[in-house]
Amino acid sequence: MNAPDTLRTTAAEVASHETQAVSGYNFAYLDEQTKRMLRRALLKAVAVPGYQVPFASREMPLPYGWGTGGIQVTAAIIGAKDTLKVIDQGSDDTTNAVNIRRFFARTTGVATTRRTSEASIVQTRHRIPESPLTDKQILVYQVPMPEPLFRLEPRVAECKKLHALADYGLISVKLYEDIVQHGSIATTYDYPVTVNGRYLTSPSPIPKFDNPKLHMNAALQLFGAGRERRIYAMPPYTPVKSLDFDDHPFEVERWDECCALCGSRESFLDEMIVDDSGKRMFVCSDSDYCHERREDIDARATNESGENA
Amino acid sequence: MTFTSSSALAQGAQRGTHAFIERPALMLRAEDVRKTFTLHGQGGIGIEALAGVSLDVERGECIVLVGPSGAGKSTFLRCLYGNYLASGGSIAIRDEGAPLEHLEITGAAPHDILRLRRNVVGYVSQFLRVIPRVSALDIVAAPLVSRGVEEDEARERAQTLLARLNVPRRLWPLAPATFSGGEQQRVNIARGLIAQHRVLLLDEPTASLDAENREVVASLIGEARERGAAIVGVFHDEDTRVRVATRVLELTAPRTQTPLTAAA
Amino acid sequence: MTPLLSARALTKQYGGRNGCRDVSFDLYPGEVLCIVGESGSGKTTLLNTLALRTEADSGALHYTGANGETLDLRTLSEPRRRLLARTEWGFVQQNPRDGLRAGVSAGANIGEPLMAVGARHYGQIRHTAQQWMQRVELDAMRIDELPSAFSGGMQQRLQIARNLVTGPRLVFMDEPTAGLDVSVQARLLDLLRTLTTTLHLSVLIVTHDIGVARLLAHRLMVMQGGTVVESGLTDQVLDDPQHPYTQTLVASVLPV
Repeated sequence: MNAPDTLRTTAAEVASHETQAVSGYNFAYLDEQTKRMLRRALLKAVAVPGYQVPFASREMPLPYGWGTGGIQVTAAIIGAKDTLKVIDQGSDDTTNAVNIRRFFARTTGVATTRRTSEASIVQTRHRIPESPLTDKQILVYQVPMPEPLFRLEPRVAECKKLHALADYGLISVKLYEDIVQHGSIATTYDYPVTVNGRYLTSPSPIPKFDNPKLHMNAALQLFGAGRERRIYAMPPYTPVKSLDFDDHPFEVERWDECCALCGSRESFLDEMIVDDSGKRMFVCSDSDYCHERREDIDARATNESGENA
Repeated sequence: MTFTSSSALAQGAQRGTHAFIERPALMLRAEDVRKTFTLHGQGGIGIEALAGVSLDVERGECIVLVGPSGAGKSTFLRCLYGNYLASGGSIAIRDEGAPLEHLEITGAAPHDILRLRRNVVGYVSQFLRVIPRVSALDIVAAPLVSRGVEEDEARERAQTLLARLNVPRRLWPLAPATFSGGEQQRVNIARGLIAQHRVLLLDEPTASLDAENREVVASLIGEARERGAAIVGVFHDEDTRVRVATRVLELTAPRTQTPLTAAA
Repeated sequence: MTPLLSARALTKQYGGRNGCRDVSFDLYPGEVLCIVGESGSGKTTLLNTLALRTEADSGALHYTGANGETLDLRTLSEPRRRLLARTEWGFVQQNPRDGLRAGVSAGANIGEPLMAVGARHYGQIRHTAQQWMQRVELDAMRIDELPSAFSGGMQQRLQIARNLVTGPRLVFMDEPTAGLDVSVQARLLDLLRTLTTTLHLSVLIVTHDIGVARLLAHRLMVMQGGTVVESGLTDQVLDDPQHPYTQTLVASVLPV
């Protein structure tokens, strides 16, 4: 979430080592064997886009359900020359984002940043950054439940068979029922997709607004679920299609309002209640995106007033 | 002990006859047909119902079976239809396209007999087996529908035949369970005759009918004969017998045992 | 003509006894075959073995598909088996609740097999489901209700619609009328009779009720103690039973 910030960082402070790497830990906390195991899993995941690869998820210094999957993936791929950005629902400033960023700073000494364009690795919980990524970047998703059929088919063994046989009638049934009950497909986040025309995949609980960004993304997208012990991936430029019916096509959310801070009409907006009388404000969810737009607006305003002066 | 219709007893009959090739008008050949019922529930008592009946039937013939009650007339008809398994002898019916142009009913696979019943052999039983909830019209149309005739056309032809048999129009959409014996019998006859089978087996088709309707049935049989059907029938009333028969075959009760009941 | 389904010496036993033993038959397109027997006769084991829900111990089992290819069912891979079950076969369970998804609407239940083979148009799926509801004499307006809102007989009809919607060639039925009231049974049997003839289905029905066999089946197999003791045309087996057990069975039917 994007808190209207009182912490406007200057350009100099944007890229920094928040602390020095602490001694007594292996680089990125995990031992080399574990990183090797994770990398093998990641290679397999990249080789079969959308396929959930089981891996030996480790105990991390934070509980399951707090991003251990994403952290393990990042730990496996991060190198001394990387620059890391961590966001949680689009914000760099939530407790989670701050803690995870600090964790990596401490265990690797690697540079961290809030600027999407300057990061080589972006770890995210539940959002994709608004600014398009490049083929020099990796996006690491934190995934709570990697199995898109989880609620429909509780039997794990049966689920595995369904994926193996591409027997996906069940998810269509769910979408059908949605239309029956709500008039349209009711899923708004964690909207199931088909990756590379083959595997049914959960894109993690990103809003469906972000689903189009999965498709043919220039960046490598890696997904880690620590508690469920699964890793999966979407290699760069992979076709990713959100499920729908021919006569009920996939649609993203739209707002009547624009961002109260930067005026954006293209980004995902959070709705905030700002006082007891229920006054609402809509603000960009992606804090860096909003920040950059505001900087641009300020810069142009300064130029103009400079010219006018 | 397993009993199937394609059992070993048929192997003797596999030799096949050339009669159907040599005689293009031959439709049915029964040779030395024997039937014994073994009642296991009564200590395995055997009841001989047929002691060796032979019959050749050609196109256009109507053979009437005569004989005292219990002589096996109904039994013989049922053996010809495959409803009873003959204990001995052979029964062959013309089957165009088959090896030697016939099918031996005795020992045939159920699949083949079903095909023959659909396309070649029709049977009018003594009693209408009533299927609940199916209208008289649909019962009569069914043999045509199972041959692939369009439902509408089948129903039309059924209507024509029912009308001819004087079945009142108001009864057509009703299930025959509540019909009188005579009405049921006429529905039965319509169902048996509508597909214009080339071999017809008629078991007392006029038993519950009045004179007028007996006459209608007799005409229908006559028309079938003219079409070239080969008919074997049992008729209790003399008049119809005289009207339709081209030949008469007399059956006598087997000498070896007095049957307990007419095994029909 | 090649048989649709062909079994030779098929055996499935539990600990060397029970189950079914040495069963052989051929089933042709458009034929309805009834397997009749009392409890413990092995008829349900046989059905499940034929439908590949249980693995046979020995024997041969072949199926000739819509494309004319004959498959050895005993060596069929699981993916192909599941594809076959989805496209060319149906299985109607004794208890309709075992054959339906309780948590989704009637329309979804009927539409699922279509969606499983790639149907992608919501409106068309719905329309097809409504047509099938009418065919099985269910009120098409109730398409959005859950199966639990229907009576037992209606649920069974719903299950039948779900099984027939993909146009299968072979349908297995396990005691489809058991547990239903007599009048409901009659209606269901009537429906089955009509559907099997108009759709030219091959059907294998297991039942303990001879009346069902008489009404629906062209052919009959009588099982006792795990083996087939008699088989043949339905009218022949019931009117002229040869085997002692068959004679007892026929004699035991209560007259109406």
